[in-house]
This record gives sequence, structure tokens and C-alpha cells, in this order.
Amino acid sequence: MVGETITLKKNGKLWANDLVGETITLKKNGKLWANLDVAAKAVGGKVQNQGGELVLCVGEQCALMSEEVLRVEDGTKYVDYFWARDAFGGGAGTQSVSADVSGAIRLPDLDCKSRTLSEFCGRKTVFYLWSSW
Amino acid sequence: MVSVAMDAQGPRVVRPWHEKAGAEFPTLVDRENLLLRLFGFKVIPLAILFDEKSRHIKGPYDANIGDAEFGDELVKWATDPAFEKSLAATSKKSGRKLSAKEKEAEARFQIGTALLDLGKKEEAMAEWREAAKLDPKNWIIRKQIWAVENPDRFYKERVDYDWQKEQLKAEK
Repeated sequence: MVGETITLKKNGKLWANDLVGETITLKKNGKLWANLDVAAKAVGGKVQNQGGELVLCVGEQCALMSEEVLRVEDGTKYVDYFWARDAFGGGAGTQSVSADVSGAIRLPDLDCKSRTLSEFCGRKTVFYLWSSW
Repeated sequence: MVSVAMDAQGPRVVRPWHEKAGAEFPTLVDRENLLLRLFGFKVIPLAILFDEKSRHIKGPYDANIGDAEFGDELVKWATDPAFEKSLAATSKKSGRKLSAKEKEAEARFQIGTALLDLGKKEEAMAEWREAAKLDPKNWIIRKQIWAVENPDRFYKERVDYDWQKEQLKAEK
């Protein structure tokens, strides 16, 4: 099982994973396969059954999950994670770095409103990157 | 000025800092390391400069908001056309393609963030730990594992930097 913690010893107790037997990610055939429901959540999408075919939808866009990108292991469905992410443009920045990144920068503000770099067009803009940690 | 918090835990942990600073500029939240994927950095704080046409001019480069030199350069960039021109002509625009391991680390980080949203903290940390193994110099991943697993060291009154130093020693 790749990337899964089954048990933890903390505070003198043995804590068992409530997903014992469930694997979140698999590495097979050079691909990273992720539990379909978790992958859909990660890319901000939903899985739908359209006429017997499983499709992954992000917003208005949907993509058919062919056998190449979907597999079933022990009754659990897994999707090729890079396909799931890149099918909807979520792979921004993983291919190359472009001098013009303005179109790729879209992030939520504190009220979860989507903001883009181009909103600041007309002004010199400093992005200051920090964290709460 | 636009502040960008690299925080997978989202606005809940970012907003108190924004409010405490009385910030009048927008704060964006990069939960899934989009900027890291675009520019290939592994530590923060950093600054990135864009001109009036949203073209990338400089950075990411080390920057501390309390550093006078950083502030002076920004003022000069904003007010001195000759400096602006020379900066645009000579400054280093960092950025690089991620390696296969770094790409997988980023994917696992995103999967872990989704698991965190689903309330599956231990599974999330397992994915993040796997990501940290793949990209051990990525402090944006490593330190967020610390923050999620030890919230008292980060979100109770003040960030406990002494504890972080001990963690660093322990993980070496």
C-alpha cells in the first residue's frame, strides 16, 4: 500500500485507520493512480455516470474516463491522477515555465473569490509569498 | 502589493494574520502550490514582480517584508523609470521545469490536501509524507506537515521557532 498509514501509536493508544483495507494511491505502469473519489475532490470535480460511462466533470466541462485512465483494484476505482488534473488545465506549471504566466495565475482570495493576475493589469504588482506556518 | 499565502489549510489559518497586520492589500491563498509549480521554488518568503502588462519581471527572489532593502527596491521600481528599465533588462527571472519526482510530489500534495478537506487527516499526512520523501528539500511541503500535525506550535499565540529548530535537527 503506497502512501497510507494503517496504525499509529499516540498517547499510549493504538489508533487504527478507519480506511483499513483502502488504498488511496497506487504506483503502477509508471503512473500515479489515485482513488477516484479523492482525485475528483483534488481537481475540484465530480464523477458522473452518463449512459453507463463514467465521466469526470469540472464545472461545465466533462471528460470520459477510458480504460486507459481508469482501473479497478479490489473493487476500488482509481484514475490516472495526472490525466485527471491535466484534462482540465489543472497541470499549469508542470510542463514548462513561460515568460507570460498571467493567464495561468488564478487563485482564490480570503473569501474564496477567484482572482487573476490580469486583474491587476495597469499597475505594477508585487506578489509577496508567505505562510501562516 | 498582493500577498499570497502558501497554505493548504486555506483561509481559516490565513485570515487571522491578514487581519492582525491590518492589511489593505488583497491576500490570495495558494492551497495547491500553483505558484510553486509555475516557478519551481521550494522555500518562502519570496517576491515576484510583474509590470503594468502583467509580464513577469523579476523573481521569485528571497524577500522579507521587514527588510528595508526590499522595501527600498520596490519604491525605486515604482518611482524611478530608469531603474525600472534596467531591472526589466537585467533581472533574473527564475523558473524551471519540475523533475518527475517533483511532479509526483506535487500530485501527492494535492491528493493529500483533498484528503484533508475530506477529514481524513492521517491519510492526508501519509500522502504529504510520501511527497516530502520524493522532494526532501521542499520546505513548503515539509513544514505544512509539521503545522497540521502540531497546530499548537503554529497557531497558538505565536509560531514556535525554537520547536522548529529542534524538528530540523531531529529530521537531519
